[in-house]
Amino acid sequence: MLELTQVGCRMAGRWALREISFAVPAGQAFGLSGPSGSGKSLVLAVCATLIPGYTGIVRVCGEDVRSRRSSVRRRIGYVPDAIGLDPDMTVREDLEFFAGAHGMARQAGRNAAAAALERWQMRPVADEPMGTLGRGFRQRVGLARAWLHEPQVLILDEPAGGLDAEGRELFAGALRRHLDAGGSALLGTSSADLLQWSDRIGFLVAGSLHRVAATRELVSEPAMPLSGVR
Amino acid sequence: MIPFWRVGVWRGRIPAVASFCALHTLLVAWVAWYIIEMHWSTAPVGASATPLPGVAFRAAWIAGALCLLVVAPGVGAGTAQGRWIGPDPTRTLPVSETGRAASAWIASCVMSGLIWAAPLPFYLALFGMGAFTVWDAAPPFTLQVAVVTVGPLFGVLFARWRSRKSWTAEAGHV
Repeated sequence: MLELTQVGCRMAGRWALREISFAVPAGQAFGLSGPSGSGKSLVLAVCATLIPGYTGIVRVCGEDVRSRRSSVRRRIGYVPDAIGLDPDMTVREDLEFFAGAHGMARQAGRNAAAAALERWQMRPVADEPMGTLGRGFRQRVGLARAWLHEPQVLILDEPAGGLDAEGRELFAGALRRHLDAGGSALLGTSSADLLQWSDRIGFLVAGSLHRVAATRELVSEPAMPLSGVR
Repeated sequence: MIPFWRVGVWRGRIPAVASFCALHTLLVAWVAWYIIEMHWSTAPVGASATPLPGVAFRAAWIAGALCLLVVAPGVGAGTAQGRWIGPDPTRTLPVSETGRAASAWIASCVMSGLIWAAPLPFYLALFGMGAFTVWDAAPPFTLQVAVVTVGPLFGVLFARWRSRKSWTAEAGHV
């Protein structure tokens, strides 16, 4: 579903990513971990069609990210590290706007927004301006936008940032349902409890993929960050 | 493109457009009034107040054109940029760059057009008092219309370029 082959990217005159290759098949989540500045967000941004100047090949559902950008954007749901929002727009208006931008008719967009408000338990703040929301609810808005059009591939950069325990539970449930339905996900995070929801984990160090391993192997390794999580 | 046009480009813009309308009108009126006052102060006692001197119209439209030259690209940039706090979340929507830029350009042309039209009653008053003829008005107004249609385009292109640069810089903050 998501496939990166020998992906490289230069930023400010140096190679920020080098020869990144991995694939995320349907029904699986791939966690991308690594220290700050290792290039996690950049890999996710490349997959989310935001960085045109990269080398190598990135395919989403068999479509090339560089040449089939609009089509790829219909298939992905992207949560960036920082959620951009219009402070005067209400949560409901925001979701209806994004539904419309994904090509839904007005009534279908309203229904999708209402379902998202229910799914992410945002009904109490549905008609609040987003400028008044706390960080946790802003993150839920970002997640709700990404799930709104039922994408095949989720690209999630620190998806649980700012979420409380309830929000994390909602996120975990939504991710599990997405994977069970045959979708796939790429998670960029340094949070160990999120990585445990990934089927495989890749460790980025200075822009290079240092190691890829199944999560269950890593959990049993005492020196790895996931040991003792479960 | 349609929801972007309906919500993204118009939302929250009315107060800013109204302020620019007021600014443009006040500037044009103040410049024209200043020239007319100077003219009257040097006119012989008992001379007719009309027709007003043509220089009042010329100075007014030049001031108006300079105002539009500054405001129109700003309106275009603001419209293309949207009112997002943080990174523009519409960057990954399946809306083409061309469609998005065209929406912003058309909307900012309409807004700039409203700003351009704001002092028209004042110009009509000057026309009524003989400050200019229809033929005098044609070239300046054509120039101003060109400014309110082309000016926003520069703003839109600048905003799209800056938006792309900021996304790249953010993602590349490795």
